[in-house]
Amino acid sequence: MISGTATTCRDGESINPPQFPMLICCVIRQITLDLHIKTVVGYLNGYRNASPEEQEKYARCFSSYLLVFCWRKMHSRIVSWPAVGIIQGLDSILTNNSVMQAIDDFAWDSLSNKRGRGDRTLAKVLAAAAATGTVIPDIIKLLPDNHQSIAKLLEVVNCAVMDEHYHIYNKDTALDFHRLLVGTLIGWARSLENLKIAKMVSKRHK
Amino acid sequence: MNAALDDPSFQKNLCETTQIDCFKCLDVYARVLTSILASTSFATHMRVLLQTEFISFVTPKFANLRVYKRFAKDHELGFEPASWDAPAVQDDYMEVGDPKTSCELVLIGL
Repeated sequence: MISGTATTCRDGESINPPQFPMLICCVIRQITLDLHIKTVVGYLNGYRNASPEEQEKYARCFSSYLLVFCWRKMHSRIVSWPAVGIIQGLDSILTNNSVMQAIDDFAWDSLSNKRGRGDRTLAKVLAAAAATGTVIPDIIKLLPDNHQSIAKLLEVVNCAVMDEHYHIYNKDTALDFHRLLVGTLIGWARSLENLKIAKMVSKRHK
Repeated sequence: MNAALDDPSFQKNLCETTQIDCFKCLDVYARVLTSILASTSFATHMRVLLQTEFISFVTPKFANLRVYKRFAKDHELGFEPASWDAPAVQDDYMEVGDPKTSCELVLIGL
């Protein structure tokens, strides 16, 4: 149980983690700094004492909480010119094929063929996203023409998850990885903008 | 014209549903993006991109503002006019010297 999280905001009512993100949307307006600190402390204590399966659920809930709590700041950062500049830069090296040259020029022999920190989570998240059948196509749609595929990467991801080695980045998957990065950044920025618009419309109807 | 659509409670409900849908979408992108940024694969990919002259491609320059505005418009990213003011530093690059750091700061800072 994540004591002190949404529970604190809803008169001691117990909240099941999977329902948590929805409810945060409703209660977020009432969160003060005091409640926020209690939430963070509650999450950390809950996470420390939880089983690995529960930890995964708690981390997901906490991530959603942070998103609801901080989305306005995230939006103002992503629409700033340096952030858009980086996304545009990453997109442009895809369209002008510079990224392929960079991949060719890189000394791949200098890398170890073992997974590093965060690779297991990434592989699992990508495998789960691919299994939904909607997330990956949505990301791919945002990519430039001739780059709307990450099939090689997904194939390696599925093998990596199945064999539990979780090593997904290599010379063959680097281009798809770059496409995934660009598509996700654009999708992220666009969904923040959509949320902002939805909020504005909602305010107008109140 | 349509009583249900004109009903304020229906509109309120619709707005809230739209917000929840937008949030769900955002939540998914957040999960994928944070997993990418926190991975060793991303760090390696940055090494690949930033090895030589590619640094200049991924370092935003204020002089390219028009290109960025066009990109934001084409991809429906929106932009806040206030945050597109000229940087205070004399250099038209981002204020952080190391391009890799500046790139990661913007991305991870999200």
